[in-house]
Amino acid sequence: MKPLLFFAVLLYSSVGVAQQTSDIQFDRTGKITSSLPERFGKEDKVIFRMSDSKESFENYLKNYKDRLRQAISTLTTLKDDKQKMKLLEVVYDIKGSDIDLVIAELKTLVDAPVGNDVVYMPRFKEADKNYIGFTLGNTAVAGAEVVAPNANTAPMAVKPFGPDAQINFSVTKKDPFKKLVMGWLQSTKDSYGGAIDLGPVQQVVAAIEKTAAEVGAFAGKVRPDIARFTEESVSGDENALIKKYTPLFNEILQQTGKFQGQVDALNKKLITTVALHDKKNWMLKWLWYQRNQLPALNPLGFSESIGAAPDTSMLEGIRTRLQVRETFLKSNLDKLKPAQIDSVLNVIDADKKKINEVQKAVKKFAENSSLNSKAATSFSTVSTDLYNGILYVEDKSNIYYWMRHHNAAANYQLMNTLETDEFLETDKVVILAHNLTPNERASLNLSFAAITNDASLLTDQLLPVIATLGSAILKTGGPGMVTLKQKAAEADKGLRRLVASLEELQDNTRYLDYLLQQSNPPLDIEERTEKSMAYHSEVTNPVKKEKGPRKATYYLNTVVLNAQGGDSVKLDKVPTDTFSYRINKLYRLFPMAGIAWVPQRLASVSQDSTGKFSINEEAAVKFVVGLKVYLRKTDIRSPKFITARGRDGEPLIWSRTSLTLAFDIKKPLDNIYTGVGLDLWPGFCVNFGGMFNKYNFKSYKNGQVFKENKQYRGAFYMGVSTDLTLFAELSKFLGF
Amino acid sequence: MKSITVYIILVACISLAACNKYDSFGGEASLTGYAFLKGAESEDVKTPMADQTIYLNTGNDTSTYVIATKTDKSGYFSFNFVCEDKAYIIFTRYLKDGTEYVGAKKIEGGEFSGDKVVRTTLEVSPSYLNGMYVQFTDTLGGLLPNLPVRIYRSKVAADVDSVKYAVYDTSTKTTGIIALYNINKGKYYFVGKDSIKGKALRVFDSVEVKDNEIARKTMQLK
Repeated sequence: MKPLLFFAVLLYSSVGVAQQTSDIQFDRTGKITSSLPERFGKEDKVIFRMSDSKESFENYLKNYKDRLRQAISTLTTLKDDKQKMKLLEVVYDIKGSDIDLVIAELKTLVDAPVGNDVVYMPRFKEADKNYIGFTLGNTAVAGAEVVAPNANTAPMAVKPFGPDAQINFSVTKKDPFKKLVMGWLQSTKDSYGGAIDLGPVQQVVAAIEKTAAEVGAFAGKVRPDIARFTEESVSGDENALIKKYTPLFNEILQQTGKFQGQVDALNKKLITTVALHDKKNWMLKWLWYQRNQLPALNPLGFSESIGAAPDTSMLEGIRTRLQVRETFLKSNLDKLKPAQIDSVLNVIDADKKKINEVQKAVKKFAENSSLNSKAATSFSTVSTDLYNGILYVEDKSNIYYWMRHHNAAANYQLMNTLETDEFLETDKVVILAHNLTPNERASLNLSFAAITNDASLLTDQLLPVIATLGSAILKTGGPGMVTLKQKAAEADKGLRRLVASLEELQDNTRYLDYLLQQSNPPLDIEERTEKSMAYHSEVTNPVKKEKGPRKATYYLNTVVLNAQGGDSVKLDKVPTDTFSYRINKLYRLFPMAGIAWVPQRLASVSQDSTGKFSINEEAAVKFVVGLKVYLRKTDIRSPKFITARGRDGEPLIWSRTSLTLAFDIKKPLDNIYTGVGLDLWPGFCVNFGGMFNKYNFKSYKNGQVFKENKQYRGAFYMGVSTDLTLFAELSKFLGF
Repeated sequence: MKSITVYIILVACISLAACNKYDSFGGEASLTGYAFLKGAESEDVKTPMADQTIYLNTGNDTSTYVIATKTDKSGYFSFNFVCEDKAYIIFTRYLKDGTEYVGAKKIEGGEFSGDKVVRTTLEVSPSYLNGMYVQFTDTLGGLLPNLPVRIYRSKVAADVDSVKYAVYDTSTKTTGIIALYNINKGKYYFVGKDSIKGKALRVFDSVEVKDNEIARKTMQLK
């Protein structure tokens, strides 16, 4: 009964393995800053958190409010700029009162930046405070949660999906302000109406250029006649003057009237062409976002495209011609006269200049295109993947995956919560490198810094890019005059009016100039997630079982992939530490040695040569050596006490319980010990059971041995044992 | 299930422990005794049985023994390493002058005292197959020690009291008794005579001795 009670107590005292919940933390860049669990059980859970005092929604709120204040200042200044206000009125029908409405809303939002959108600008919502997204993938139940910085996610189950033990996690940061802007773009794009067409604008520009040229030529022609008439009329013969100048001034008046009609029509057409009153609402809704002194139709700082690439089709012809001329010049250098040589050289220089110009234009276009593309990417990149990680979980076949986490950002130091260096051969060890930058690296620092700052820099840089899209500024001019006195005065007046009209037309061309600098905003731009900047984890070793016992030694280095071709180079870093761990064998059989004590007296009666009887007792304590056969394979390296539970929650007692067979070291067959061994700790085994002592039983009769037989007798024994090596050393030490 | 398996193994191991034939000799108790010799008759005086072997066996069997010891000069003996809860039998047996002396004493478990010692006595008596036990008295029934007596197998020889043919020419012991054991069966004739204050007294009688009994008789001197 007592053994049963003993086992019952052991079982009862065994405490189950609790479900573990691990806490994984990241900094604002996505780097893992916390230690990581060395193992996940199927029922374990994980909590994610971005824990960084510098990351806060308040930062975005402050920037947003600063932007609103800046907009108030800019719009206030704009409202006082009559020229710009005139332009806004002509083009968009925006008046000072409209600007006042926007400013009023801006002031409201500075005080209350969180709430529902207002008419002319968006506002942060309460939900925008949660912008750090954590996902857990390849799990039985996918986990995804968006929380605020420094806030925990709910515990997510890491139970793997299917047979795969690898699960993934990712951290994504959604920029609250960019999200705000993208959302505002989506909600306001209908107010933009149709895209503007710069074709009519350019037609007006062409017509103005043509008219200005004609007027210029006309004025240049008649201006000397008017001047000469003015000079001659002071002292000359009037009749002669009348006769001489009347036909001329009639023609001037007629021509001036004709030109005046053309200019007036052009001016009228210009005003009509530049009027984009349907864009008024759009403009008002984006005034808060603009940073230019003169609001642009496209406030985003980039366009869908920057137009057609420069025409390079003529380059081949020019190069051929250049080659022919250079060859001709070399071949005939001694035959040609200096003037002829200079002439050919001039042509060659002109060709080279042309080629150079085209090439510059092509290069400039490529640069502008790249800047535009980067700006668009920056704008649309609302979310940024900060980390794409890998973890391993105990799979369906109950294989343990031990993860050795190394921090690539800290010279590969271990990141494990517990630094277990010993694993079982039934386990799989996964050496994971975390905090690896994409492609290694140096490029991360460059691209990270560049892209992070690109948003504001590119916006500024794109302004001149857009400016290049503009056409040439029209410059025309010329005086006019009329009559013989009256006609001359009329001609002069008409010419002056024509000039004034031209000046007005010229002044109005700023609308054209403004419009030609505008582009349609990319209304259909889609929100994107930047995936190329995330830190990531890598599995560095083949994940498989290794036969134990073995000692593994390893170290890690960073390898950087070349951007060109993928050739790898090693980084010159501080040498990393060397790590090691053991693969432990699970034993079914294991030798033992120790001492056994038999509480029972095992007596033998003997008779000496004189016939004297004596009773001899077997020594109660004997040194024994033998073999343990464990009921379940055991890990002899486990430090746990027998009453504890194993990693699966199973009682350790079964793997610590062995059937033992041991023998007396001195007389192996005289004392045989069988029974049960309980490894309280591996290497410290309590043995008990039955022992078999061989003895010689004699029965006497009349002084003679009447009956004699050799046989085994059983007894209960208890003992302690350890492994052979320790026992041998102890024996040496104690001088046994 | 596993615990049951282990338990069965344990029980099996422990049950094997019952097969020790020396299991009665592994105890911490001791058995000491005093062996004395006593004649066949109640009147016999107890005398210490010195230098005789005392045997010890388990159970009741006195045909064999496991261990033996010798009494000292005073008849004391001792067995150690006995178990207080076991049953033993101590016994002795020896031949002296053609007579077997035997004695046996059963020691039951539980007789041991607090100091784990059991003290006992072993009475050893001659073991006679047959014999005669004859008591001589005067007419008033008084015992007659030192009475010269001759014992004949022949009645004729007895009648003439021819000492030449006497089987035994002896005297009564201080108890007035002549006891003879392990003798041939048949009729034995007793002739005893003496004179007390000049008066001659005589007895002539016989005893029939059989194979397996001791004949008892009282003879009166007249």
